Amino acid sequence: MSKWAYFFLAVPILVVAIFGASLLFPSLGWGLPENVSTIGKSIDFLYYAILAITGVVFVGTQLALCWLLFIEKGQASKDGRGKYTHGNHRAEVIWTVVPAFVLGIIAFAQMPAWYQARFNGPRVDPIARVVARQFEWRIVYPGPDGQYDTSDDIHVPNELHVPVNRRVRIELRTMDVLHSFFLPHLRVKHDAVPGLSVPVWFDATKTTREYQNENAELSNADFRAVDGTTRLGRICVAIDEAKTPLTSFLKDHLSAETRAMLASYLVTWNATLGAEFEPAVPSGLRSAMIGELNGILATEDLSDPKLTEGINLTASTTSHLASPLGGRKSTLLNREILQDAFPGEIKPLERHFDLACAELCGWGHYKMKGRLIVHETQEELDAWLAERHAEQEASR
Amino acid sequence: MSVAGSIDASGAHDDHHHAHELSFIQKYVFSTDHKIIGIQFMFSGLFWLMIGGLLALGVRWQLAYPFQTMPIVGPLLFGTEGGAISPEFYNMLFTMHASVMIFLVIIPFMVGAFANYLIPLQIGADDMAFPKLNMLSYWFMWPAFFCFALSFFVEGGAAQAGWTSYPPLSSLTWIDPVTKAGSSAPGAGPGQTLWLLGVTFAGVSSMMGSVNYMTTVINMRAPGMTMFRLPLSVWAILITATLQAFALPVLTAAGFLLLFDRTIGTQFFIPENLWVNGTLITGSGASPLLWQHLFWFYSHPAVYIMILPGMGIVSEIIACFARKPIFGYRPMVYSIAGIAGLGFVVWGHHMFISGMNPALGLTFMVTTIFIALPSAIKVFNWLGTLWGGNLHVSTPMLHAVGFVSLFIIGGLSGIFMAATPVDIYIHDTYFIVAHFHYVLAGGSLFSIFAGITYWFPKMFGRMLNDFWGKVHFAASFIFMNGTFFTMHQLGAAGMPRRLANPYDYDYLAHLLPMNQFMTWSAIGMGLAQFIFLANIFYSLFYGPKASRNPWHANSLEWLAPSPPGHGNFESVPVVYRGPHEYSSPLVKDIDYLPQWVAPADIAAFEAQAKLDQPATEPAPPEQPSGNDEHQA
Ligand code: HEM
Ligand SMILES: [Cu+2]
Ligand SMILES: [Cu+2]
Repeated sequence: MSKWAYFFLAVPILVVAIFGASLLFPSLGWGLPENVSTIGKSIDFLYYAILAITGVVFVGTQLALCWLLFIEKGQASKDGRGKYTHGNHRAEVIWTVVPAFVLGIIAFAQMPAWYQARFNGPRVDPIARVVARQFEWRIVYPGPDGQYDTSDDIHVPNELHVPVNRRVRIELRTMDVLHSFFLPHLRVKHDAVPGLSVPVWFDATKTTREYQNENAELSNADFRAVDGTTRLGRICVAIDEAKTPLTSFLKDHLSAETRAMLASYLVTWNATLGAEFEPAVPSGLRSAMIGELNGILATEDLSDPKLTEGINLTASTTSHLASPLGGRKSTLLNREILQDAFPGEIKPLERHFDLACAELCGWGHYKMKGRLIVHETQEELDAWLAERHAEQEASR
Repeated sequence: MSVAGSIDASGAHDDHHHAHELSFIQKYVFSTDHKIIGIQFMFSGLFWLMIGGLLALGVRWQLAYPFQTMPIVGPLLFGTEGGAISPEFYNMLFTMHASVMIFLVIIPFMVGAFANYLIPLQIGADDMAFPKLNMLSYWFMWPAFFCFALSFFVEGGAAQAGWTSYPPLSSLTWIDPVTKAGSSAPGAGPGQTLWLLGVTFAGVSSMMGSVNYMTTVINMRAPGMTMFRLPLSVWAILITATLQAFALPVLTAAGFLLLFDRTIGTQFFIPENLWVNGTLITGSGASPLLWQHLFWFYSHPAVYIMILPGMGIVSEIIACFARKPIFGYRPMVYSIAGIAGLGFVVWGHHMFISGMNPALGLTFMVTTIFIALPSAIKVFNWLGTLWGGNLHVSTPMLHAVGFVSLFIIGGLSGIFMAATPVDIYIHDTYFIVAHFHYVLAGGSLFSIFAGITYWFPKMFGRMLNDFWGKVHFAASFIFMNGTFFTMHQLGAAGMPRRLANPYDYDYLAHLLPMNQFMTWSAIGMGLAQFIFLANIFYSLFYGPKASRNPWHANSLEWLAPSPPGHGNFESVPVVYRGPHEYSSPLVKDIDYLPQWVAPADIAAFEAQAKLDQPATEPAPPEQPSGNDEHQA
């Protein structure tokens, strides 16, 4: 099998090369993303420690395998026979006891981190309630009275705001199916289970602003890389951040077709918000947008095929309109259309700490995208919350 | 395809006995012959392997070219969607891919095809203990096939809740009764019900098989076949059958409960105060975690059901082609048993962050870490078997060695996930997907390839083409790694599994090119299987005739004619030694000493074997080129 030894040798070589590249060139993004939490440090340490241990075992066993294939006939088999042995007691003992010992160490070494992550929570009131539902994150702050389930609760869709360097606790819930609250940069993940309110805690050791400054260049590159499609959610944010009055913006820039698509998205969005959460739409701008778009919808018939004629829709956009489930898929828009609709207005998005859903929750699982905003100080966060509160009151 | 006339090392010359003539239907369709049933399992497995592979390519297409028109098939399948896969269709693809592969391919292959074919032949029995039950176990697969196939055509399509089918996503229909639209999970309609029925039928089939296998191995061994003379493949299957017998009822029961939740309005898994399409339903206060416990109580053992027989197969093949006794036969048996035993107390490692008590997580962590130990022992013993061997290159051997190489990767990645803090981060990311594809696509699938190529001559009396066998191996091995290895990188980068479009997330957008590379590898892996199929179907009719014992192996199946007739052996074999007496010092001129040769007949056997060798072995397929000369 000598020739085949080289074939199998490619495995350890390539594996070491790939993991080596992942470690040596973090900019490839093939390894753990930047960590910004304390528990993340222990998790990353364990990950690298296990990588080192398993790496040694991996390279050792693979090389042994290749070596055995390479020598092929074995020294003991000059007579064209295999070595007649049924095993070796001492070898068995060694390769049972040594791995057992190493595995035992791995088992014990990780217990403190698990304790920190799942037992030793900070004894503080939850900063927010994170309520997952198909397909969004509803973040609820207790508001000025410090109580949940009162009329002054502050509702923020898809954005969790926390102060930097403080161990905060959230209460994780879901209104419908299982979801999983995943903050990759903080190495935090926990399932949201119907019927349970799960305490999850973490600290963020870097502010969003710092993070964005460090990654300003990346953001531009990313935006171009996203393959011709982008999320409408992002556009809303872009408008929001540009502080362009939405009404005039839509009138000036959007074709009827795009308006219709936009409307269809927001209508489903709005519809799913439900009456209970109606006042929850946090920013005045967004409420206005929804109002405006509802108005547009009233005058545009989405099912009219003429609407989709003449514009260069990609397959995916067509499918969104054609789908029996209506505009719910219009969250994906072709970038060209967007640039048509928003000449000069679409700016690259800033990087954020993402919040992802990591448990399958239905067709829209992939778009349960949220973000974690880390404020520089508690005061800044309080001010932001006060602003949201005021907006919410005003839109009543 | 009778071997009458061929002189064989076995020294047995009589025509195999036909008790009575059977009609075609009795013989090949509703057969009670374990060999036919095994082959039936094998061909239906191969068929579903292709279906499962196509579903996987759909998944891969979406991950490489999200929401873009699929060439050729796109417009046909999703004309209204502009030829692109919709997110709900994507969920259906990965759900059904996994379900088909697990329930209709790998489990039936391991405990349907191989167990059936091998047990009686390797223990020296004429058939299973309960041949009718055995036949039923195959035919109970058909309702499962039917349910799975039909589910693609019902309203809302096939199941979309993942192969794990966690409630409440899987326990309610999620279709708005008024508008029929706005469904948050269109596949949770009749498709999900059919899924549950299909899994239940497959389970019934497995259960029938499992009872049969245990009984047969325990009761029907040939004279002299003590437990510790059983080939490791039989040991592995016996232990697997035991695993199944104890784990499967739990899944079946859970499946019925979920079915009741869906059909007759019980609320076993439906919690309180659930919002469904904007309306509040008051549940019973049950916990959806209950399903996870019940499901994994079966499905963790099930992952071993999918690998243990493969380990047995690989052990037999490595011993044979290294021309050496297996290194550490008993430790091998004990570690199979150890894996099976521990396999019952590790299910919670799928639930570390599910909301299960973290203290419980800790205990599951410890058991899980230690289940890596018997796996490691097995790897070391395979290496030990290769050491000092007189290795022969052959297609089965390459697949077996490939198995070891790939299983090492899958076993080691298990340790990352067993470490609870690390699992917080990598749970439900592509790291998990990498792990189980290394053990399942790398491990189980390669052991299936190894097993088919090894026993093909016995099954059909003809040799497979060795050259194309090797080409198939090399291509599969390369593309398999190309498809799955970088999933570790995706997982480390935090890419969750089951996202129809991961690139929406800023932190994942850069992973698109890597995914495209993996998709092209997957396409290569798919294409490579056509070589395999072509080889099988060509050799079935035109392959060179196989002798009784083309690999010069030791276990009892090689005593029977190729293919064995009804009743397997001409006369009841008697077993004198263990199954791996290769290069035994008791024989000088040949390097194997089969289990059935009586000590008094060794000299005669040896003389006969030497005589036969040139005659019965036209260009032995294990020696394709001059480099690899061996066998005196
Ligand atoms: C070396 C021993 C092994 C260890 C320590 C191990 C550990 C684990 C752990 C901890 C998980 C859960 C990860 C998570 O969801 O976060 C897992 C998942 C899985 N393992 Fe293993 N494993 C081992 C061997 C195997 C083998 C031999 C197989 C199958 C042949 C297998 C098949 C699977 C599958 C299919 C899953 C994922 C199920 C899913 O979530 O869909 N594992 N393994
Ligand atoms: Cu979700
Ligand atoms: Cu498991």
